[in-house]
Amino acid sequence: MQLPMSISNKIKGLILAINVIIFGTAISLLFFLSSISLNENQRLLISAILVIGFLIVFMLSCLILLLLHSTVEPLDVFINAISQSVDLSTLKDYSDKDDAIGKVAQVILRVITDVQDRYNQLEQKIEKRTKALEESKAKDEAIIKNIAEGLVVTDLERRIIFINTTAEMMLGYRLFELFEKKWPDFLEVKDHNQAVLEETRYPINLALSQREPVKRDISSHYYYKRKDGSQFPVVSSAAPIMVGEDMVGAVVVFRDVSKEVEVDKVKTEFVSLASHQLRTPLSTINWYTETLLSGDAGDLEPDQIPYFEQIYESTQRMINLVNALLNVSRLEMGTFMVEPEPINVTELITDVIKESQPKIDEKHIELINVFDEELPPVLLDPQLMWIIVQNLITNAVKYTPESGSVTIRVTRQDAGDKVEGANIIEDSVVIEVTDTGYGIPSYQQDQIFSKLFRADNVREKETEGTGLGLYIIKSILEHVGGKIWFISELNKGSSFFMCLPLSGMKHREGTKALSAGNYN
Amino acid sequence: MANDKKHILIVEDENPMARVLSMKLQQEGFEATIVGDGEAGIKSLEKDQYDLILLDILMPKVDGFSFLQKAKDMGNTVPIVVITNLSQQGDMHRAEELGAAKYLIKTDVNLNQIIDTVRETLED
Repeated sequence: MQLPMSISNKIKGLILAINVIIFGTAISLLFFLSSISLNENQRLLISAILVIGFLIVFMLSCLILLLLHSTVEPLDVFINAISQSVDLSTLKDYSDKDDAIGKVAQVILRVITDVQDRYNQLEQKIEKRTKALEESKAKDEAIIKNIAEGLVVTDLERRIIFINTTAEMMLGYRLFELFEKKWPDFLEVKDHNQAVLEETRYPINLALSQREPVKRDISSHYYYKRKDGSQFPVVSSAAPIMVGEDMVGAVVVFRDVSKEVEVDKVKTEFVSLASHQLRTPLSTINWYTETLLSGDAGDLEPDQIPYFEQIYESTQRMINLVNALLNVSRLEMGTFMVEPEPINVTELITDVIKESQPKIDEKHIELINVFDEELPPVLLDPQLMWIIVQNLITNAVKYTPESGSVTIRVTRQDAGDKVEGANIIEDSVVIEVTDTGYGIPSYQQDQIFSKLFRADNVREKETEGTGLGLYIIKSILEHVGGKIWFISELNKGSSFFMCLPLSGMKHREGTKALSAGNYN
Repeated sequence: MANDKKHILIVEDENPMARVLSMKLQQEGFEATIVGDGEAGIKSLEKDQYDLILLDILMPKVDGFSFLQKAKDMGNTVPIVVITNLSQQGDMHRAEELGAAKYLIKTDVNLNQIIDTVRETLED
């Protein structure tokens, strides 16, 4: 860096120049005087003025130079010293002085030390943070690399940003081959019935449109096609990546469920077979008990009647259980059919209530209906709807103590509405069943839709129950584009909500109809 | 008097079921004949006159579907009510295509409902 000329040098140059000019001018004037005709006195006076003038200027210059030397020059030296390099020892030398420069040096020294301190602190902080970040990154990398699940990260347009090694191995692709490709288009995703999965039903699309995580279990597994053309079953979940309120992408996690699917298939076939075989002797017991109770086989002793009634009721329960198991196997094998027809939802609910009325009356339960009477008919499978609504209502009645209340609310909700934490994606009919019952313990709420699950608190109170009702409802709804969710508080009650799009259920060919019945 | 009674043919291999059905039908004023499989059922149909047939599906030798097929080939006009535990939709459609008038699931109906169905079918 070129240093600027010091102030004292500039002033010195200026003074020298002025002196030279004045000296020159004076000499010139003296010569000039000698050439023009002036009397001796005039000549003497002007010469004296010139000489004295010059002397005054010269003395002033000397004074200025003296002043320069004592004030500006040290400042120059100081500036020079610190502008070449901020040398703390030089500054310290100056700061020991008791003059103005010493004070300036002290201030500068203080500022520099302060800045240096702050800089050091900042550096330490950055170092700490960097270390923490590195640790966290290493941890994340270790987790992502070593989890047994395939993991995919995409942007908002489903373009792949990252896939982990497990996913690479499962799919047979490398990350660089898939980078920025749309997930999961290249996998030719099929549902568990081997039917091509519509794009709108991809978990990642649902997660992005609903802005909430979408979980799938073994009952709704998919098939992915590997690079080599072979396919394998997966259970996949997707969740939006949220930065505050902004959604920036999605993460998909999937695992290979070949073994589970195989086991499940064998089990389902067994259940189906066993159920058919069980139904024949059950029908026989049923008809014979009925014959005895009706007196067609001779009058029974009055004392005997309750025993036969018990046999009859137990047989009915067994038949319901077998039918429920059959339904479960049909749902899981994906072989049930959907035959939609225009249904008046509130009429259907009223019919279901009629069937449950004896139990409602017996428990002195107050039933409150709040129906949107303007709801248009919706294309629904009446039998599936019957199973869903019947199980929701009998559940509510069963798990509500005497003299409690059950509220059934049927409303129309528009796309974009929110109902108790759930987003409504398209215009829908929402059926809510709220009870003042035992509620579901919070630690078991995430299991409530699991097959054969019954909450601890109701196990103690109601010994009857298969734990299949909610599982069946959820499975049906998932197959027909509906949804079920709930809120519940222990000993206060539960509200179950189910929604179905007003566009209705889609027709589906199947080999079997589901059997109606109360499975709870 | 006996000639006034409607004659029902029960084609059912589960003997206890056939017996209780027969008993109920008789109590309700019908005449009932039991055969244990489809083959015997066809023979009875060729030999005697019936007003209605109660037909099981899963049976040895000739099953319910084959019985329906054979009866159809014979130009049978006697109404057939299928009563079975096969609840697959395909089975139901198949039986209807083969000429079954009604299709009942054993576990889903009681004896009185069967009698009601028999009466309704006879009236049609």
